Amino acid sequence: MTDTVLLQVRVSASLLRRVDELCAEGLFKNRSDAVNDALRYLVLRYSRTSPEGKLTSLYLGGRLARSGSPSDMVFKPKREVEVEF
Amino acid sequence: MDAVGSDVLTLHHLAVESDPRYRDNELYLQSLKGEVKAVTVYDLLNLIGSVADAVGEREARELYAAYLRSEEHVVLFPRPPGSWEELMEELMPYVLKGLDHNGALIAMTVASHHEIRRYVTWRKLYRGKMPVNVVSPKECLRSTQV
Repeated sequence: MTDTVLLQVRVSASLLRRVDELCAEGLFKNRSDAVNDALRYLVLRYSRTSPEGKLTSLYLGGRLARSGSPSDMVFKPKREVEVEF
Repeated sequence: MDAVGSDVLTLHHLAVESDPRYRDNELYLQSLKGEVKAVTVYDLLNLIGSVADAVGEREARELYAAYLRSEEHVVLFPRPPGSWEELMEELMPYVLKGLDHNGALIAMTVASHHEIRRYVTWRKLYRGKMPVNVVSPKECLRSTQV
């Protein structure tokens, strides 16, 4: 593999045991191979996510900066609107 | 905390001034200015759909983002269902009370957030079927005046 970097991350011991089991089953050559596959999936998943999907993910993760209020966003409809009772 | 229904928000954001409920609707929302309000993600999606239809896609997308970023709003998401069986178990009690699918999704979401005290809507059909008291904006105004 060319142009690789060493990535040090902390993972739970139980998760790592499961990854090792997958390697032992032959699904991945080693831990690096498994982590590379997981990261490729992660990048692919978010490259397909819409802006609203990404915003929702940030919101649910508590990582979206909060400011202002949408109350002032009042629009002029193109035609008459009826709101159901 | 009040959870505000999509009908209340739609009357406001689309400025439906010809609607007889508009004045009370505005007074109610003004009375909550500066306070934190809740909106279920299903109500927010209903609102966004109405804005997309009546105004356009760009405005609808901007409004969705503004609600998520808002300091004055909390968007309520239910716990994602693990399976169709789980979803049916959670929704069925509300559907059997006579709520439609949308109402049942809103009820399920409100039920999972204990900080919600009232659901504010003009929809009379929701009364007695939600896990919290259902009131109209007009009734909210009356209760604050007493």
